[in-house]
Amino acid sequence: MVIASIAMVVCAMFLHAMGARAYTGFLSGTPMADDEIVAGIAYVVSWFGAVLVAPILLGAVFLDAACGTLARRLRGWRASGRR
Amino acid sequence: MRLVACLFIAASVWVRSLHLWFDRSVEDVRAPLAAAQRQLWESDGLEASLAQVRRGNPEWDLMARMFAVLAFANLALREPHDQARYLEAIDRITDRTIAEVEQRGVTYFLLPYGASMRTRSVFVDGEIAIMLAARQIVERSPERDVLASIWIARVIAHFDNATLLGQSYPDEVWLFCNTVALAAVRLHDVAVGERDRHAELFDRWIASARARLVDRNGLLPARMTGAGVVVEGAEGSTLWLAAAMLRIIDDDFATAQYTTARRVLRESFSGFGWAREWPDGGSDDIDSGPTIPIVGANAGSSGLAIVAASAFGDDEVVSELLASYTLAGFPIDGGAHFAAGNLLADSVLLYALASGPLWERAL
Repeated sequence: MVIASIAMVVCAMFLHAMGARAYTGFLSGTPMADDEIVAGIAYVVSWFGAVLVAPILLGAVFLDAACGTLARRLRGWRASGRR
Repeated sequence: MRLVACLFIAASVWVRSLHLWFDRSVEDVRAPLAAAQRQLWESDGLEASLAQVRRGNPEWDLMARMFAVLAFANLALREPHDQARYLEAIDRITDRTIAEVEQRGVTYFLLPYGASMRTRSVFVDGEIAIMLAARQIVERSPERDVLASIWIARVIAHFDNATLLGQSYPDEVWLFCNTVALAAVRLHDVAVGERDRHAELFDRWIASARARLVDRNGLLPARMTGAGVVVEGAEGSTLWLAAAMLRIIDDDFATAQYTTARRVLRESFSGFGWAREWPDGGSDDIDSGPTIPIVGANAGSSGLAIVAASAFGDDEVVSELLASYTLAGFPIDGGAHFAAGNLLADSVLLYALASGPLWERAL
């Protein structure tokens, strides 16, 4: 999930740097060339991937790791308590 | 199982806090848009922008000019130190528009199927008339008085029939165009110091609309025949603008239109807002633009909703819509343009965020 998140962000940054944000006018029905529409769709998908999906995936990975660490420490604490 | 729970928690926290990254104040959005619009209407880049919107719909060309003029009129009243510059831009846009109509006919701003239009169009006459009237509100110019009177007389002639409805295309009456035309008459009456000169026409129009046009929700339809038979029911992209225009015709009726439209068309989630085009579903057309499935966000309706929300001082809806525009409208060049829109969308948004002073003088 971390790799997927990073890939989404990198993809969005790349398309942003290439100027694809300027081709999102298809959303309002503005006439555009076919290649501009493709670039615009790719930008919109990557944008929402980077802004909406990637942070959720990274947050979930972080939470999962934190829960795992906490669980291991709890098990260690209990084991040392029994001794 | 633990990972699924973590995904659920992360999604809840992120989605609920996402709007904090995209919240913008009215001034944050208005200032760069105003600077860019003012510069655009003085530059060579204008032709490319107009050509782009004309490729989509020649009506958008005229509408972009009207919203830019209304925005500039409001800004001129908000920023008196820059009034001369705004008036210059207003006059340039209006003169150019009138010259193009005189040279190429009203069909220059109509869709191809309007080529058979042999009479005048309330769409074209009304939008030119409101540009002239708004200018006269900002600063009355004696030499433009005659011109404004001519175009206002043309608008009033459209309502001189049994249905009190002006036609934009042959046998086509659009609420959008009729309410702009009525607002033009009111603005002109205010500009010449006779606010209630056409009060009787407005009263008859509102009474007729209440009696014959509103649907079961109490909403006005988008399109009728010349005889007043409803062809297309309530549409957001029409209603939001109509409600804002009707504020200076009959504030109570306009407020009822806005309140009902807000109830049946407005959507919001976690600090973001958008609008549906139809209360009960419908299909995309050239006026409304595309609709995003599932959430039902419509480009035309969501873009014009902020005009009504601003006109009725609905800060909650304005704030939600601005967050959505910032997230999904893709502002570029420091907020000078919204890439998901076009020249018309930018001028509509600027008008919405600048509006207030012009209507205050007419209320």
